[in-house]
Amino acid sequence: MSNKTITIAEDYSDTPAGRYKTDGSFSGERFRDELLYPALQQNDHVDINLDGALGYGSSFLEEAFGGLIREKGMRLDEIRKKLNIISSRILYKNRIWQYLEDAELEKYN
Amino acid sequence: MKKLTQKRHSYNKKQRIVEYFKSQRLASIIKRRKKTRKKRINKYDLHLALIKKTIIAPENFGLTNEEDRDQLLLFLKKIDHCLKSGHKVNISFERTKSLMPCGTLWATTKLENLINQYPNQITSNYPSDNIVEQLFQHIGLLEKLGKRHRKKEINAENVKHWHYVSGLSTDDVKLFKNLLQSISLEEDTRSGLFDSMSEAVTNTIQHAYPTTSIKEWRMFAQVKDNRLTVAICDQGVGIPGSLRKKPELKEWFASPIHHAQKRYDTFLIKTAVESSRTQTKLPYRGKGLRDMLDLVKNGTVGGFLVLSAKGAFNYNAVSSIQTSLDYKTSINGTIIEWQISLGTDHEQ
Repeated sequence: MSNKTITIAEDYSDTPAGRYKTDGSFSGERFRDELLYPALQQNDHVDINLDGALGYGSSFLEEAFGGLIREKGMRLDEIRKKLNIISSRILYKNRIWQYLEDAELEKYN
Repeated sequence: MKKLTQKRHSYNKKQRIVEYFKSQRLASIIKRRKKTRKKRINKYDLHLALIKKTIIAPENFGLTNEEDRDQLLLFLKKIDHCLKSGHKVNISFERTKSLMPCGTLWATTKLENLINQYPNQITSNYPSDNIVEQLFQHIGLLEKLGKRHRKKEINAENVKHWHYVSGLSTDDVKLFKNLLQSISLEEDTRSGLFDSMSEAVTNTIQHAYPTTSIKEWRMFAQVKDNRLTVAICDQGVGIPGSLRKKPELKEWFASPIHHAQKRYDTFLIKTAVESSRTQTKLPYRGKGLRDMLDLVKNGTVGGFLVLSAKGAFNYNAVSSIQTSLDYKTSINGTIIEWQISLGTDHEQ
């Protein structure tokens, strides 16, 4: 069993922002394509630690996580098994799982 | 081929000569007219360049009060018009006394753009009000207007804590770090405010400038009376302009009620802020404004204000009342403002 932990503030940016790569250098799309999706492909379990960054706009979170289903074709069940969100702000956890559920509904219903 | 008679041949020749001289004469008239007109234009230009128009800035730099808004927008329009007509402009800030974050952000943004567009064409007098002068010095406006800094120290409490930054992409949200870390805020409020501010910048980059490559945003923040006010603006198409063109909203606008209300900017701003995704059928985009409102709704003090084109949406956390208003005059762009209570023992 391989595990991976990504701490966004250290491994990516402490001020992540933007949805698409065209919005800026630390967008949700780039995080998903370069860190999150490869980690989920290569590992059985992935911890994403959100603490330490100044915050996360909804566009960033939606594109990074909702985009796993919409753009990368992953299924919610598969993501549930592999992904664990670590955050002292419960709001972020709730938002991420809501975005994933919405993306699943939008794509497969 | 029919042979031309001698008489006909001579007539044709004569006609060609007449035509030739006619065209020569016409060319000479046109040339002479052009020369005269050019001379006149040059003289006129010189005359205009020598005239420096003095434009008096309004007493209040505000955008929420209808009268203040009209006067501020008229003042900016006058400057723009004079510069376009070839005049130099001198701004008199003698009457200016009150600077509200939204109005000041808007005026500064517009003035700085005009200064860049018409270099060395705009000057100003020093403001007669000490606070106004300190603030214009603090944010660098006086320097851009060619005035040296007279104040050795910015000591006014309500000026020291104004922050002014601008950016061209979401990369520049790192500039919010200094501001947010210099103010004592609860961790949830700090994160929530960054979420909202970065989302406002993302919206600007994605929607405000559909036809231009430069996507500029500006931010003002002020700490006053234990209250943090943050305003972010862009000079793009505005929320109503952007929504009217969204193909995702075609179905939403198709209903008779929404179709009739579509022409009101306020209705469109309210739609963007309040409506759920299931109502509007907007896909995964466009939830940022709602999250921004939720940030303020979670508090008991403060407010959330959106000004875009002619419309305004306002939420007051003290009374939990939200209001919306259509103004007569339009700002060409969007301003989003948050007011957050800092409690009584915050550090600055």
